[in-house]
Amino acid sequence: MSLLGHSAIGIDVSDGTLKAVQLQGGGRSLTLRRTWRMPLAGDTAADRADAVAAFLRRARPASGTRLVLPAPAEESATRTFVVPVMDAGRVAELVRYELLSDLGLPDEDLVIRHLARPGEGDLQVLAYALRRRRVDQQAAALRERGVDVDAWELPGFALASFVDLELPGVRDRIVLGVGRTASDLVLMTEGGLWARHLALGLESAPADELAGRLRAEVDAAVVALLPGDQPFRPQQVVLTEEGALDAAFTGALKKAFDLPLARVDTLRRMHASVLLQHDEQTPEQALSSARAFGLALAGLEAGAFRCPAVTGDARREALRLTPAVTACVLVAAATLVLLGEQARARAHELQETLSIASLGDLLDRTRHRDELRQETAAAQAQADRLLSLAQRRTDVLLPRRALAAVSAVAGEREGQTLHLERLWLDAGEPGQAGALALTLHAAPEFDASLGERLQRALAAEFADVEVHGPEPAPVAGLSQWSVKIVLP
Amino acid sequence: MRTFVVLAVVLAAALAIFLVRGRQAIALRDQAHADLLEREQQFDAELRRNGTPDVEEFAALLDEHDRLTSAAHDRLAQLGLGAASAPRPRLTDALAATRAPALRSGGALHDALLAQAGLPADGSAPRSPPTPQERALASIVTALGSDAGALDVAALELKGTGAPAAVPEVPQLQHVEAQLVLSGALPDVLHALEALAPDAQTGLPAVSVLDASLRRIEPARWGASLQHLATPPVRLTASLDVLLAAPGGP
Repeated sequence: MSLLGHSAIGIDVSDGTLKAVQLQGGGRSLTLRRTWRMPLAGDTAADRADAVAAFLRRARPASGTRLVLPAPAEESATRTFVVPVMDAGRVAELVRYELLSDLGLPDEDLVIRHLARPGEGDLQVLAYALRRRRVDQQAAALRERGVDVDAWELPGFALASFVDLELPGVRDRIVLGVGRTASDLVLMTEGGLWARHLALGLESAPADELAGRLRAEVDAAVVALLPGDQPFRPQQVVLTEEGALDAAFTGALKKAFDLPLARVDTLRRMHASVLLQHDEQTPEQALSSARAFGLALAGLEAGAFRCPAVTGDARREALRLTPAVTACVLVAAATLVLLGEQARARAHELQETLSIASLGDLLDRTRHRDELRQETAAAQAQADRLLSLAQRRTDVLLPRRALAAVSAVAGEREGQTLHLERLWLDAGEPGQAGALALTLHAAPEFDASLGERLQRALAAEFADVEVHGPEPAPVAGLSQWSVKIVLP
Repeated sequence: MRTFVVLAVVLAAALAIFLVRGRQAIALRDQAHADLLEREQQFDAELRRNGTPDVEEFAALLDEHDRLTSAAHDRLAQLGLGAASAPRPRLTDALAATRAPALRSGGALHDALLAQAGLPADGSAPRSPPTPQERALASIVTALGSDAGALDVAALELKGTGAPAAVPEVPQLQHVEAQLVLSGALPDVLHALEALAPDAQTGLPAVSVLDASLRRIEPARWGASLQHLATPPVRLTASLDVLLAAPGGP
């Protein structure tokens, strides 16, 4: 599994050449990422295993990439059954029974697999049987070389999956995957799928002869495999693998079948990656590797006829989880480390916030302000006290000013009694204004006007003057007047 | 397998780092958070108590403080503190110089004044430095001046023991209170009253009037000009405050 989706490599070694295709699936899209082509030394199980091992060393696929190989299809047999809908166990039992009856071989000699495809009402079951000894032989060869794959698919089914994907909409057709040393014949109809692996390849005979022999194989297969009640009217022959690139063989095949010949010359249902690479082959050669495409489709679980003969062990499934596990572990490790560092940074930030130094500074400033306020208040009190003391210098001059002001009134007394009985000076204290008090005794004739005259005379000299009277004076026959002057 | 070993090592290393440093950092963060909460409470309490002293407030306080200090300094100077005062005569010299009969040798108040000043009654020259009482009395006698010949001084005495007391809020000064009773013609009495005032030029001790009372002035003598008022005599009763420099002061 990659970040961009699943990835699978189909490695076809069934026809004398190693052809591999890497597809990537994400959602419903399929992307061709890379293709390879390598020669095969021979056609034995050991030769194929050597080639696969060499390929894997060269390609170094990621651990999450699924690897799919072709199952050894020599002596294989395929059948299509249409059965009523029933549970999977009974279908398997029925398929096994029918194949064993049909092939006449013991159960232990066969590896039987089937693919149930729900249809309209009945169940279409595509089944095939492999020779167990060939399967065991290939498995041993791969195991000896340390090759571990995810699945083996029947080459014919893989071929059919790719053709079904890229060339849809044809009811009956013949699919031929003609390689250097072997070919796969697939008969595709709406009613089923039949495949045969033939030990016939481009190197087996000249083109005309090979085309004729393949025609004969097709005819024999139609007779032997297809049910008699279902007429097979192929609309085309689909040619893939190296045979599709051989002009002489293609011409011979057209003559032999007298049917339209189709090839997959462009990919319609999948797109090429911008990083697409073709190793040791041309794009046309890569497009002809239909079996490898089909195997890769099976690896992505996108093949219409996916039916693995052998599945990989749990180790590969576990390995496939390695990227996710790695990511989880790294994220967890990074989280642990970051958690600590983040806490440390946060602690530093908290320590810097409203720091002890700033709090101490505030307290110092507050204390300094309180001291300054006290000192200012003391200075204010001192200044007030000194002002009061200094004011005494002018206070002693006030009696003369008051007497001078009153003397103007006294000048108008016209022989009547009017004299100043007492003058009282109080210098005052800070917060308590000083005062100048006058007590006058006057004849009753002044009762009507003296107050106003005193007020007028003294107001010219002093701001705050209060005149009270007349009142009976201690001296009989006189009125007493009181004047209070508040000093500034 | 190798991959899983590497991953296990990485995870173990991260876990070890977390256990050694991470947990410590988390504890540090929690402690820092608790400390911050405590500081915030202190800060909040301090702000609630006093508000935030800012630069402007400090500047205003300092300006006000400087202004008041300067005003106090000026007023002290006006009272004579700090003036290069001329040597003051001792009480015996002042009494000898005055023309008030009651104060001169043989006068009614002469011996009592010497006694209050702690001076020998025989009029001999004092050997000890003047006491605050002597300086206060000498200042009053000197302030009355040589024009006091027309004044009849009935009383001049220090209040209480005459011991100087601190002037509230003014640590540079102390004061001695005295009582003065005299009579005479109004111009002379007014002149004497006006002479009992601090003089910046003469310095300390400075005589000042706390309160004063003038009694009985005949209106027939008021006239247009006070300069011509001479009789009948008026009686001045004054509470005096003699300001002295505090010991250790300027």
